[in-house]
Amino acid sequence: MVEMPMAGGPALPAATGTQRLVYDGTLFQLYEIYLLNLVLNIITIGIFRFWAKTRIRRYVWSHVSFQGDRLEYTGTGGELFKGFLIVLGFVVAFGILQTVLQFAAGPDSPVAIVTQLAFLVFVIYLVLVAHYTAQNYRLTRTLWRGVRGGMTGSGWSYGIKALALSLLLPLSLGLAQPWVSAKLVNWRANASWFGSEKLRLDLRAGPLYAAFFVSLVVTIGLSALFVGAITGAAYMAGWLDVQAFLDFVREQADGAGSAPDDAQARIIVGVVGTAYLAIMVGFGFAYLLGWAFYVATFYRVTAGAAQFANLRFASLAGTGALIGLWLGNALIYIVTLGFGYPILVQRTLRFIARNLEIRGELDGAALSQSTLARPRFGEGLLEAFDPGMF
Amino acid sequence: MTDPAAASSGPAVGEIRDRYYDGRSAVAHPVRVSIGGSKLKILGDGGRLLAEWPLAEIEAVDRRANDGAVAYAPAGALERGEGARLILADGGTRNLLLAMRPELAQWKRQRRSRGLKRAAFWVVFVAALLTLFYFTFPLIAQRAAQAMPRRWEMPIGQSMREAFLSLSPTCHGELGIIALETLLTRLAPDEIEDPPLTLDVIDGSMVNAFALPGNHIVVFRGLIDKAGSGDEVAGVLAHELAHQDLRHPMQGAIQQVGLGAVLTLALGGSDASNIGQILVGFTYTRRMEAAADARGVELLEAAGLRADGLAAFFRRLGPEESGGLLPGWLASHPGLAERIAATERPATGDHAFDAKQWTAVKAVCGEPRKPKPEKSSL
Repeated sequence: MVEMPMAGGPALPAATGTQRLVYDGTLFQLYEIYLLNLVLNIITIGIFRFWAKTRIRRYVWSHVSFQGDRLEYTGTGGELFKGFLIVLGFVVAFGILQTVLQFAAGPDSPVAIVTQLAFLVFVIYLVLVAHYTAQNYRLTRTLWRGVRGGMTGSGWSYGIKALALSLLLPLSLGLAQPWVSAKLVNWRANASWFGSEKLRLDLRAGPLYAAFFVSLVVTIGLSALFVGAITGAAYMAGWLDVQAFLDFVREQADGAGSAPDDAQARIIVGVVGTAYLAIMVGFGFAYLLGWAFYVATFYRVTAGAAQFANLRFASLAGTGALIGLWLGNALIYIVTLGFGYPILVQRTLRFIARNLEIRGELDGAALSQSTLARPRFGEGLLEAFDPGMF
Repeated sequence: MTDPAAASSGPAVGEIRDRYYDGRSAVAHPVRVSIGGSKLKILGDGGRLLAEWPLAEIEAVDRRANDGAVAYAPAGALERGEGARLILADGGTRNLLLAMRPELAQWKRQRRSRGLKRAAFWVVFVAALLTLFYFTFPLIAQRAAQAMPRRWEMPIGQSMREAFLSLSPTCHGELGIIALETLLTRLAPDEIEDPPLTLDVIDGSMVNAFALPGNHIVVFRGLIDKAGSGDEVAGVLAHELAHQDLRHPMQGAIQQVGLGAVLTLALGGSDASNIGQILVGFTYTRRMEAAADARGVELLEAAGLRADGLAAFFRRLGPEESGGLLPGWLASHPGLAERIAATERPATGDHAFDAKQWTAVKAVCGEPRKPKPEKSSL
């Protein structure tokens, strides 16, 4: 990257009237941050992860520019850590309560079952609330030209609405997914602000359904194909002696069995290994290849339905490009045993910068500082349940 | 307000590279900087004074390695989440500032060390917290267990008892059962009597006995076969009774759940947390076993009975343990040598059973069988 353009001037030329976010982070610098994070994470048995995440975010944010000015991330590791402690307290308290109730009423009693169910529902609720509060935290910790973002409304009420809607998913055997996720994305987006301007999103699920069904069929088809292929190959290679495995299991169940001998151990490894491979690799790749079409459509429709002040958006990410991103990331991660994480970050950011088209130019003078409240603690709930990429 | 369009058509690119955000609106003002007295003056278009920052309170926020620009903020802006920033892309201007505040050149090292120091503080804090938790949690769990009414244990205790009884048929030698129950009643302190104590003898070859929630005790035939005298059986029964007296079943459950939850959440479900759970779980069990040994012996002495049976039984098990049987057993219980030493008592007091009762106990499951070398666990 050469000279950054002048303040307020047009971004680097794309199509006339359109601009992009500019990302100028380098892999080398990401690795410097990542390797120190790794060492400290190991020494502190994972407690450092809040500060590690913050360091990566600071780097990434400050290397993204919009209209010539860089973003700034003002969050701290301490905030994330404190948010996490709060959640810890709640979950432990709930866990103790659940155990006591279970003891008092007996493990098979209706009270015990209801409490376990309630706990499960509570956890799902917390995860949904976490989507909201994490987004709020990140928006309020993002500065552009000194102005920050924020969200209105509350995560708690969003969580209730989201929970109610999510009940539709099992009821509809998953077919309500595009409609439900469109609603959730709409709620969160329409509560989001940057400075004095609101984000507007009118995402309709209609255009999503065709892609949803195509992707569903393709993914299921590919899963069957891959799982079948892997199982078949394993069978041909002799790893899969199902009869012997079943005999062994029956032996154990009758109580006559003892520790498996070498031959039996090999059989067990063969069967279990094949099952694991078939599921992870088979389903995994089927998902990567089959679902990308729906996700690319989702991005395209969402971007087209969004506006911010006088800006309009478009997603140029095609199915092929998305597959390239996902597949590449998955392979790199597997081959490098996780050490390729900075490469994933770099690829993803370049992908976003390349494929998010912004139409129009934002007049900074019209955007004044946000007056929304700034939450004091970090994502807490999300930390506890869903680490995410950054 | 500055007109961004005018700025881009003004001076040629490269001349004014320093920028100022006032934190009130999203405008990037091209600025010149001058130092006057103890203040840094930020001058906008046409020399207009946009802001004045006290030199001593300026902090560096970030530096981009690619273009060398450094962002500065006035004191307190970072903590308050305010957005006023001065971006100095021009090396000359930065040198001007650094001449007055040379320590700002060290900002990255300072910032990083401050961040690391803070992280180190929290790590030590969490480690201290976990250590404190490790020591106080058993006490809390014990208090909680003791505060809980015994009746609350009944439902789960009943389930567990039924699970055990379904394993194998129970023994019904009437005289033997009566002898054992009489002994239990004699040993048990009054507080234990509600819900009523139950004793079941299971026809299995395991050398083992269990104290279940809800005042249930289960003994395996293998243990009775293995024992050399009635006092040894009495020692084991007293040990199990002690578990009930001390509310260990309940305490154990609380500890297991609480420990699991805290470690998993604190260490993020990593392998360290799983291993930690297992290791710490074993420490807790060892403590409870040692406490039950001591209390069991107390109960025997309080009832005027011989209290050396438990040690004798441990000695009887000794050769099997040193045969390197089951490392798992060793880990979850204190070593036998320790336990023998802790439960040594003089051979004073009445025998737990008279000769007739002891014969009945031995025959509680029908004909006495030769004890087989089997898994032993108490």
